[in-house]
Amino acid sequence: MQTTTNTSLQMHPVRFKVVDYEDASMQVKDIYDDTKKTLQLPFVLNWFKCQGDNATLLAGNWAKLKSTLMQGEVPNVLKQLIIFNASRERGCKYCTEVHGIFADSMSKMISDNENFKVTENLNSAIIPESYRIAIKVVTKAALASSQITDADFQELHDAGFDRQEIQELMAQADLVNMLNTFAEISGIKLDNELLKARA
Amino acid sequence: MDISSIKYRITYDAFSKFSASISKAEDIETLAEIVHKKSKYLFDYKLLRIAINTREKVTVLNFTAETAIYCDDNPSLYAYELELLDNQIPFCRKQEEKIFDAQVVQVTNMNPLLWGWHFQYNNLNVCASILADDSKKFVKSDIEILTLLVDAVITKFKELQFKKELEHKNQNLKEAFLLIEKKNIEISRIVDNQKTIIATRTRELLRKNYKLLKISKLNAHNVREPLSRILGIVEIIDHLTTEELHSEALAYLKESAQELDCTLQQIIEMSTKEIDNFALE
Amino acid sequence: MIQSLEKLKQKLDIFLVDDQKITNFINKKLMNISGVGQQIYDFINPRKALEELEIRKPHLILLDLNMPDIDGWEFLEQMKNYKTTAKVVIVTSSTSKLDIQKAKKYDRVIHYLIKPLNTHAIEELIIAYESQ
Repeated sequence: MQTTTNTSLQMHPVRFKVVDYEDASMQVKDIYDDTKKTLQLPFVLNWFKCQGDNATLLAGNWAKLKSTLMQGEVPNVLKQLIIFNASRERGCKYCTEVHGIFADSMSKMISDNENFKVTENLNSAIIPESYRIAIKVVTKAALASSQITDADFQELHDAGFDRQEIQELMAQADLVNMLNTFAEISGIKLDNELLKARA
Repeated sequence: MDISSIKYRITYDAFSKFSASISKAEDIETLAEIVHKKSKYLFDYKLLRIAINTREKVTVLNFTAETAIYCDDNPSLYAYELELLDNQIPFCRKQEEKIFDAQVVQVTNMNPLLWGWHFQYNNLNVCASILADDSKKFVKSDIEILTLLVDAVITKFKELQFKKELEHKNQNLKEAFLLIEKKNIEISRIVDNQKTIIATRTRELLRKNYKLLKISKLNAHNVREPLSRILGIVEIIDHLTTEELHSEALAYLKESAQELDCTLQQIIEMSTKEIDNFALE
Repeated sequence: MIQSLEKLKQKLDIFLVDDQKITNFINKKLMNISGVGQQIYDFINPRKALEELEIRKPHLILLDLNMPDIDGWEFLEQMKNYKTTAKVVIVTSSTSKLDIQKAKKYDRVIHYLIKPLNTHAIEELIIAYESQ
């Protein structure tokens, strides 16, 4: 059920104010520019636009997102897959869609087939074990953090990750929680520009 | 998600990062570390082993999940590697026999498989092998990536070897240059010394020459004296009386002739002595 | 001209100074052959010659350079201490340019001849005596 009409109809203006690029303050504009540059997108994601009214919070959240997801030693694709997987299991539609696209920017859009079990697919032996273990463990860390044990850390270690990498991977857990929580609360919908990408 | 496109995306991303990291490596230890860290994003294995054979030596890189080991003290090769070097035919077979050092990797009982390939790079013979099992499965579609990895590693390895060789040669050249400089100084000193010796000898020779010429002049004089007296007598002999001839002239002639003979004998004796001295020197 | 030379030849008193008797004998004979000399005195001891300079008053002295004791140069120097107008002809076996040049330094020396002398040389020295 997709439309290409005015963005505002897809949002809930009664929740957060959506600030487009043209309407943003200098400070917010700078942050918007940085997100475009860092994410290699010619537009600003809704996830940022509905924080455009509070430069301080936007700045903090962007900093967290940037340093955890877009920087570091672990391959970006793996991190996107982790976020995609955790968001899917949690049922956060916005994040699942956006991060699915990031993880697989060359292929078609994600299937809407509810029977499609992503985790099973990602468990296919074709994907290196390092990925499979990382996705499994960090998803658990995000969705059931109290159930994380030393054994989970050991599993990551056995898969070949060193301390630095494990710390970076675990950081994706609380990142995805932030992403999902905010997306759910704000009620944002998939960006128009991404809709156009659907074949 | 389309599984093959995920695989493609993952592999492409991981390999380009791997390539970029390797190019910055300054030594073999760093190279091994990078391979260890990044290879887990490319494919699964229990043991990845790269054996590099040159004419001079054998270098081996061993990678497991926990460790990266680099041996360049001519470690011995396994039988299968020697086989590979010989026939160069890649293989994949069951590997139950525990041929590997238990501290490095354990051969499990979960369908262990040993894969082996031979790569030829000019004068480098490389054996790459993978030990895998059900817990860490290496699949056919990973072979291409493994080949690219080995290519990248060997290229860098060769570059690092060249660098080492160059440094070594430069060091040798530097030492040779210093030696040459030292020798040059020595040579200069010897030459200067020779010049001094030559100058001294020349002076000596000149002095000797002068002495000889003086002696020669003296000899000539001494010879001429009595001779001129003989000539003198001859000049006036027609104007002498028989009396004068017999009483004085003949006696004078005899005297002068004898003196001449004596002088010449002296000269001969002296010259002979000098020549003998000369020959002895 | 020749006539005056002839007259001159006969009027000359000559010293022959050479350490070799033979040389003096030869030179004396040459003088006789050439018709030169009124009184000819020969000395093998140059010192004696010096002593008799003032007594005998020679016109001309034939002087050898190469003598032991005092040599020709020393003789020339010593001559300065005596009252004499005698001229000197150096008769020597030395062809050294240095000697020739040295001889030129003495005004008294009117000619330089190489041993052995001959009649031609005698003629030469007469002419030299005449022209100075």
